[in-house]
Amino acid sequence: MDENITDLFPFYALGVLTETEKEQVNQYIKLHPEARHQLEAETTAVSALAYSATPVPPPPRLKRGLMNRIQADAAQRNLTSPQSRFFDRFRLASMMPTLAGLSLVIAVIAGVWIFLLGREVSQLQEKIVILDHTITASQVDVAPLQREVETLRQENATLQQELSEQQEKFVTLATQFNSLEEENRRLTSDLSAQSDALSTIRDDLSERPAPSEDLIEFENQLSAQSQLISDQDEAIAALQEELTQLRDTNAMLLKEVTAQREIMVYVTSPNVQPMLIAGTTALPSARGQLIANPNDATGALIISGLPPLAPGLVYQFWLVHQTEGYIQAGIVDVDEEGVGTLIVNPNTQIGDFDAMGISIEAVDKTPEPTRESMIMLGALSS
Amino acid sequence: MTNAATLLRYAKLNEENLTVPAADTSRTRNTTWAQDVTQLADAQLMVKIAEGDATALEVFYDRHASAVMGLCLKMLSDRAAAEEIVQETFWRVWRNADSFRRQRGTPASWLFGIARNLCIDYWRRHKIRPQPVFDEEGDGREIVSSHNVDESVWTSIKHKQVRQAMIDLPQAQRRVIELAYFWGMTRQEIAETIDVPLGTVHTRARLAIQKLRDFLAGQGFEE
Repeated sequence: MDENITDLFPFYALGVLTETEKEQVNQYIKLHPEARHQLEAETTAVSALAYSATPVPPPPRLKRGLMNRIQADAAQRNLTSPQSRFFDRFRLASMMPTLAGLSLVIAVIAGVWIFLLGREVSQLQEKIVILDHTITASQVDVAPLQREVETLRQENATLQQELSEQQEKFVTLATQFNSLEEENRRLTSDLSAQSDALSTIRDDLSERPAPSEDLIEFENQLSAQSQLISDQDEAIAALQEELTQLRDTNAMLLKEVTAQREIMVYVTSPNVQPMLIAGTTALPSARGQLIANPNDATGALIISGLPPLAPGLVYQFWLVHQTEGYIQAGIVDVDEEGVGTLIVNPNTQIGDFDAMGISIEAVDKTPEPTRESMIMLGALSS
Repeated sequence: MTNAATLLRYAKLNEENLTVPAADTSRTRNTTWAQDVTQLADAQLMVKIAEGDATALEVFYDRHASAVMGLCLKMLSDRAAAEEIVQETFWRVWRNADSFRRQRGTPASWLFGIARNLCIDYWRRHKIRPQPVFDEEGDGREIVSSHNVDESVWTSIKHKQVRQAMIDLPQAQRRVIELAYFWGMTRQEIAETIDVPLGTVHTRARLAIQKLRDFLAGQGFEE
């Protein structure tokens, strides 16, 4: 025998083994049936140990309580006990005649009831036949209704489809709306943050101390420099205007110098003759010469003593032909000293003309020269 | 053993019918004495209890209640708790008599087993366990039931036999048995309590039960 397991036998009998240990003993007993006798003997000996305790009578109330509980349970059991069912059957047997009579009455009542039910069934069947006829008649009128129902079904299906599409659109729009709403919230939040930042900056600026004296001085200097720059700009503009005037004057002088050079060319050309022109009684102080070769078509006119004219008037130089009359031969420009020059170029020989003269004419009128309108006259030699 | 005890041994009813001893030939064979429920043996009482006979249960109670109470008091050391366990024990006998099997032993051992388990459960529920109190000699008090004087005497005889067997055990061995039976200690707990190796506990338990068996057998002890 396994000494270890048999050591557990007394404690198995004493009931103080763990479940695992009890199972070990049980398994051992199965494999070693000869050990069962030992275990049973030890269990029997242990069971007697209860008698080693001194008996103590319980109080009478304990028995009363127990028996009351047991009597109540016994009474409950007797309701379904085999003994009570036996007595029920006995009682039942004595009631047979009464039961027989009662059964007969019930059978009669059942028969009457069945008869009445049968009649009612017949009536219902007649009604069913009538209803069948009615249904058959109404089925004729049903076809158009069915067609209409079918049409309505199709319309309903179409509307369902449209509704479904509308719902999808709504979902899409709702999604877009949610996105925009979210972005709006974000922008509002950003704006609010910026407003707060701006307020902070504004508050910060308002709390800044007054500018220092150095800063004021610097600002004054800056202002003065700005004024200086502005004055210089004005001076520069004036200088530029003066420069423009000087350029114009220079151009005019250059033009006069050019004209005088041209006149000098004529004056120094061989075979040229001066032909005098003098002022008339209208302007007796005027003097001049036309220096030209009578055989040439070009000459140079030099005049002096002509006063400046009012605006809109000019000194017109005329070449006079005995038969063809007065021929315009150019405008004489006169300076502030009353001196004027003119290159005459009549496109024909100077010698072909008989006389020359100068009149004062309005620029916007067609001249009508006469001898009397001449303020200077002179003869031309051929 | 007294003459009353000898007669009782012959008069015990079980599942087989008894024959009357030869000294009394006025009775025929196969005559049972079951006319008075108080005269029934525990095994037949259990049959009647299983059938719902409250009187049988009452007789069973009168026979064994004092022993159960004594057992519970020894284990719990609490009278109120012991009374509660006693009532619950017999109530369970009433409710479960039909599940009693002779393979489990005698009705009395089954009864004491129920009471003992209820006491152990009580410890666990209340998370207590009384300190062991060793009753070395006992007071020798005998209990007499008014219903069946002979049976009460027989019970008293059993108490004396077992108590004597325990007294005759070496103290060390008796302690091991009592710690296990009355206080539900495991082998390990016994070893710690009496401060001996586990193997010693095994040896003492084995020897104690062996001696108990031999002594009770020599005394003609029958449950």
